[in-house]
Amino acid sequence: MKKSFLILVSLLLLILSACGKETAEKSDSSKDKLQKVSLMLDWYPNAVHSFLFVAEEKGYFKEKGLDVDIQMPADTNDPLKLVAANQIDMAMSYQPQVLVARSEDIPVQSFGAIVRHPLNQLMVPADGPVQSPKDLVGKTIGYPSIPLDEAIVGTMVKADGGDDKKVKMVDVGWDLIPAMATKKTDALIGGYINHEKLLLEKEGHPMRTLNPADYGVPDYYELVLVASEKGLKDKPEVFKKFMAAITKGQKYVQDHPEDGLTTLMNHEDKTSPLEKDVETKSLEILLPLMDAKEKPFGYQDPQTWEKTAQWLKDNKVIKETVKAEDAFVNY
Amino acid sequence: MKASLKKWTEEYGLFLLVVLLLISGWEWAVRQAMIPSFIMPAPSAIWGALLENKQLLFEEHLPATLKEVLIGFGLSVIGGLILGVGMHFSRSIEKVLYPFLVISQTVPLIAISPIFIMWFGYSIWSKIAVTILTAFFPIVVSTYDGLKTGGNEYRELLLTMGANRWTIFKKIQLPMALPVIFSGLKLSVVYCVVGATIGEWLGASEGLGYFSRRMSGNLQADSVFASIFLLSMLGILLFLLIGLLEKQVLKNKNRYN
Amino acid sequence: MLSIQGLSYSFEKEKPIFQGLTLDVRRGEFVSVIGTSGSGKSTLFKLVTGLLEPNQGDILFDGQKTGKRLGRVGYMPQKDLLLPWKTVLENVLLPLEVTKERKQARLPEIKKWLARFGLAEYESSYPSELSGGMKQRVAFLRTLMTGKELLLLDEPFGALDSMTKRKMHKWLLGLWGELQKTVLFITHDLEEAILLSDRVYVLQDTGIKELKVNLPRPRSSQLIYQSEFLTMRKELEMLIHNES
Repeated sequence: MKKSFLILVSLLLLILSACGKETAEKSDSSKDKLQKVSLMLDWYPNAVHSFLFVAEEKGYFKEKGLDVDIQMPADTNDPLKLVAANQIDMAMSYQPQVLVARSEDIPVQSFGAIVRHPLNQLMVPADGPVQSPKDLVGKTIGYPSIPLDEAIVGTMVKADGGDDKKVKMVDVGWDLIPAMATKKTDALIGGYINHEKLLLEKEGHPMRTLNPADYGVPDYYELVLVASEKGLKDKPEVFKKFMAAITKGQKYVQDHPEDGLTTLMNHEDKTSPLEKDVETKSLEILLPLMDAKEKPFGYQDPQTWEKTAQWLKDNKVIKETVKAEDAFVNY
Repeated sequence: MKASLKKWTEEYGLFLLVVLLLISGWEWAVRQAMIPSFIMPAPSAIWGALLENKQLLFEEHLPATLKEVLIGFGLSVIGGLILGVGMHFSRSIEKVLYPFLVISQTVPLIAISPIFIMWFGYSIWSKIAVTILTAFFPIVVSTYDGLKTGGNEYRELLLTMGANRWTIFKKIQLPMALPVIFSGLKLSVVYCVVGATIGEWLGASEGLGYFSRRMSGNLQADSVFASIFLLSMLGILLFLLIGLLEKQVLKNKNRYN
Repeated sequence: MLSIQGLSYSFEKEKPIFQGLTLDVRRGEFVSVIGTSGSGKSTLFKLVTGLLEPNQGDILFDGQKTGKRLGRVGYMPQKDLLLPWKTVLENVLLPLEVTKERKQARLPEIKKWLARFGLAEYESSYPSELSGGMKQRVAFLRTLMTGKELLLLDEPFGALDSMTKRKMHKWLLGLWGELQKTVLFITHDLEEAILLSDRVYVLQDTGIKELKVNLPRPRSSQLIYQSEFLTMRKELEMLIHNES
């Protein structure tokens, strides 16, 4: 009896110690010429990630001495958390989510704005009665249970002169498309204009989209690159090199969109092929939204951060005021 | 009463000790910042979140999930028993149904959920549907298998007394199947809690699964764990209740040689 | 009362267990069937009770070829097969439940028999609480409760130790007059066969042989020490070994 107890205890301790902090391997040894960097995407690879795959294939990362390991998230909240816990070096996430994280004392910062405007727009059937947000009064809106979306709808309806309390929000889980396809809700928020909208159209449900930025919501950055505060402080040169490489990648995609898309598709064909027509349209929509114009690719405007932080606080999405300027870093 | 309490502590004392050790170790690890609190919050933070949200949790979300679990379980039991008995009595029913049953368990929920949404919308019935999907299978299988093992010799004895199939079923096969059926019930009730939670992830407005998803989206890990804790407690409680029922019903059956 | 004529049976594609078997049992008789293991004694019982159908031959009850044999005889299998979750009384009542007879009417009679069987205090006990001999008695009473005239007993005392067995013999002999039944009895115990029976059938590969037991009734268990008994035993053994 005593012997088996001892064995049990030692097994338990073994398991516990194995579950302890795994230090992310950063092989800085002179043997390895390339610096290993892990990057977790926000979602499954799609047109928006073309610049990453181009940078990889065309050797832009290698030029800068980087070996980038692109990973898939299991859940949309994972990338942020894993980055903060130093399990991953960098990830793609959402500007509002960065602010929410910081209000919960999660030490992440954004270091590049990839998609500079909301992709998340309110969608209603194109042939339906809703023309503008105030028409949503008395109707149901499907959403993926994210408080941000509640705030977006509330602001939009109010800005349009409607009573936002008379709008019913219905959680439709992670799969947004069935909600509209089966007509279980009157509208949808949380879907992207370069994804859900295109898919619904393809299935024969053309949608009208209402841009939150037109109705009182700050023109926030839909997709940003994030890293842990610690990582950014300790190894800024890694991130600088990374930004340089992806700037080159994005330029290539901008100049040769078809080629860039092909790189993405080829990469995905190996595991789970994408639909060319959808991704082509998606990229068309995305490119202007990713363009920083005179500023370098990924540059973040402090004003955008201020406005977004304030709006989140006013709408009770974050509880404590977050210092916007601490939330991001520009390279 | 005192005697059974003493006995209980004797049997589970070691378990409690280990649990206490684990919780203290966990608390210490988080405080020492060995584990980030937003990934695995400290037990004290979870308790805090439980108390902070106790109104919401106990008055709104727990009852909602409990309702789904109970209705789902009830329907699973009724449906499962009927199917199991039906398959026992009719070879053709068994041959047709069994493959479908197994298929129903292997189809991933991702494929089925849009269909459920089409049929049930986001009402309580889509959660109950998911619950039943996972929970009725153990009942059907345990009922059918349990009835099969029902003592061939006893069957023959009753035949010589002039018994028909139904009498043999009532007097021999059903009583002998009860222990296995109860095993199936215990499995099923736990699956019901899991099923209800997953059902809520497909779209809900209340329930512990829904609450944990929302809190997760808000990056409030301590609230997520608080609702998970309640879900576990719910599962354990229901499991124990069935166990108690089993003890009562099988009180005499325990006299097997 | 029971007449078996030209009975043949074999399990699928196997050698026939017996062929052209003929035997009979008259009303009120106690007839034993002896044979080595595998000679087909239990199979014979299954055929008579209706659990199996013969390949060839007839089984007649009171001279009639009946359609359905199931439920016509009382059958006591080798294992007591008492339902462990039911009390002694409930087990004894089982045949009545099967035929949906009104139990209430028969209760006084049953209680009388329980006492006669020495089981009065064990009415509410469960089989797990009883000794081997007691369980056999309960099973026997259950068989009686089928109310059938012909009882088929398959080695009912086979699993008992010799002391208990002797007690059971004494008990059964004492009860035989009262019971007013006809019994077909399987055993491999020669002594038991002679002690209890009016006639003994020996079942062998070559066929069936018969021995009339010329011992007066009522019998006492002390009979086994008498010289007439030994004579019968010798006769039986000679009959058995007269084959090889």
